[in-house]
Amino acid sequence: MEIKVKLFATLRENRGKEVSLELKEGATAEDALKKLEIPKKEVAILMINGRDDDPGKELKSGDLLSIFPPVGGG
Amino acid sequence: MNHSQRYKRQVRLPEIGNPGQEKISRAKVLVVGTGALGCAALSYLAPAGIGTIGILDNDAVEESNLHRQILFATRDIDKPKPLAATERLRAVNPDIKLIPHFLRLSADNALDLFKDYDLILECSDNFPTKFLVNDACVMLNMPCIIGSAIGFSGQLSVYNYQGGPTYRCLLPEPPDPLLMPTCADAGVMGMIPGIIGNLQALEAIKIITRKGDVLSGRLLHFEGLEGNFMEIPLALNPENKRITRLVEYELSCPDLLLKKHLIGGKDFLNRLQDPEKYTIVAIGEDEEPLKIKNHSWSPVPLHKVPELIQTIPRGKKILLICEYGIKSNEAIKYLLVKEKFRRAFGLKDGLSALRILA
Repeated sequence: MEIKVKLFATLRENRGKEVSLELKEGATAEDALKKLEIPKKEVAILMINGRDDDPGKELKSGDLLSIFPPVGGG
Repeated sequence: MNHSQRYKRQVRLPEIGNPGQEKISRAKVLVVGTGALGCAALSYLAPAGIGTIGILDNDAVEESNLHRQILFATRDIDKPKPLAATERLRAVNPDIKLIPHFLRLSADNALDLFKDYDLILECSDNFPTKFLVNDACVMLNMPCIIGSAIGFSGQLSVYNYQGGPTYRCLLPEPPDPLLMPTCADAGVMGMIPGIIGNLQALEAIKIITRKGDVLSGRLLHFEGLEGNFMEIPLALNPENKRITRLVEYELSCPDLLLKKHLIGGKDFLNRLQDPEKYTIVAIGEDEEPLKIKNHSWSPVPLHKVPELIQTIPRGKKILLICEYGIKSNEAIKYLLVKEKFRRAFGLKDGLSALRILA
């Protein structure tokens, strides 16, 4: 299945702001993070289809994943 | 005091009026951090007539601040930031009380400092301070407006407002400092903290005058390159309200520590004369030796540093070098924070800057 991932702030570096990911059926948001090589510690907010959700939840084809890192500068 | 001229345009707003202006003039606001966010927020809070403003920072103005820290002029370089900001704002609005706090916020002084204020604007550039401010505000049951910015992105929210979520509802614990880029590493476009700092000031006015929908329970995230604002809902985890003591995260703040462990080019050349005392570690990703004058070192890649360090006796001082000072900075942070290796020093800006000097 294919899902869409929107990345924000510093997570865009070397990855771009939007990517399509091909995942196995039954894959979770955590699997998507692994594929993108984003350590869990670098994720502050993870939304599935615009809603805060459990990263262990199974994804469906066409889902939109939004990932925000912690932002601490100023 | 007759404010009829100075505040005329904002008093004219039905949401403000004379009662609102009265509330603004009685308000006591502390701005923690006088960097880019703090400068932006202060430059609107003071003119709006906030009666008492505390200005806190433990840093002095540096030239590299001036592209975004808009309260400071070139002549302010080396001045303590709270004093330079106070001077500037006093000229803008002599009717308000400005209190400079030239100190580092810590677990020991936060509660004492905060209790003289109604509201905290958290404008620092690091996670340890954001967590300290949040925790102190939870303990004192007062709201805080926490902003942040990096690159072309920024975000803010009001925390601990009328039973709403706290900063720990966004991030339960401070992120690993070695994983997190800072503005010093990643860079920042000055307008971004400018925009976020202004929004923090606006939220302060809304809270003080009790008007509008305060940005609580939602994080406002701005992507500057796209020109997009996004709202992310935040929910309260009641566990995060149970804070009974403040934790010091200083060790997790490598940028503050790092500064004390960097040496300039001349100092470095002097220390090279004393090879007994120092173990030089050159860092580079290719095999090309690093050279300066008649010295030459074969580099080790950054990821080999943890391994290498086990072979160096603890008492020995380490001098880290690389081409541009970026990799050696990362290695020092690692040695200070993870290995508690207190005697690691690095060459500021690397050998490339030293060549200009030599």
